[in-house]
Amino acid sequence: MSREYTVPMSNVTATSLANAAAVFVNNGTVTSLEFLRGWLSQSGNATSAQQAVAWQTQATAFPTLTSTAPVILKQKDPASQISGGAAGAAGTSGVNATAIGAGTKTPIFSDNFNVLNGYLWVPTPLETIIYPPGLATGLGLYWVGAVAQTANWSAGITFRELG
Amino acid sequence: MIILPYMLRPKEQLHITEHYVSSPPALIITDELGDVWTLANEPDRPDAPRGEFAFMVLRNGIPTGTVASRFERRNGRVRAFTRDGWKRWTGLFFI
Repeated sequence: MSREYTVPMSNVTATSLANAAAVFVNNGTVTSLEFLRGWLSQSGNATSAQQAVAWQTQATAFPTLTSTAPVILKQKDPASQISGGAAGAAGTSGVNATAIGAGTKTPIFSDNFNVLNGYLWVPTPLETIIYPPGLATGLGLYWVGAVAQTANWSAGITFRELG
Repeated sequence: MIILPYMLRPKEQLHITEHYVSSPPALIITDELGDVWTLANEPDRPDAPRGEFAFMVLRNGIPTGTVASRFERRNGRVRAFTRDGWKRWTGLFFI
């Protein structure tokens, strides 16, 4: 398969806001997106601590983010139809929300993890999240509770463009 | 294959992952030697266990040659679930 992309967040100081998006992708109007993988980790805290996390959809108003374009996984693939964007608008992606946005958030998968071990979400093939084009919501990986130690967080989402 | 920073052995690692921790849902597992175990980011391996995505198991970001859908640290050993069932790490490879 091809046309797989990752939206990475690398070694940043995480927002201290509760229920903030670590990584957010809002599909455009061209193709469907199939979400295959998501992860969160940190290296700034050597003490065991729990962190709540969730895959959530969010309607407008979307979060304010650091603009981050998807990175190609298969190097011969074309660039993603998604581009980097700070407003969470349709067809854009970003990381590390600085404002959570007032839009309604709907959890899909909620979980908790030890920050020393990090969090990796890999579905079975039947459990992948498929996002058709033109939806009014975006999808993201969120810190549900405020991050206690904000230093040196990394995260990412891997998705595939279908059709 | 894209090697991300978390897949590499850190300069200093004081935390050894607890027994019975599995990846996923843990992102990394660190053993007594300080080696960092992760899964590569390549879905759709043809040699996956049926009904699951599987990935190359990486040790300090280096492929071990074993493709698994998950792995865990159990009783001090790292073992991986492959199409052929569970395999354990001998120090050189999975058998």
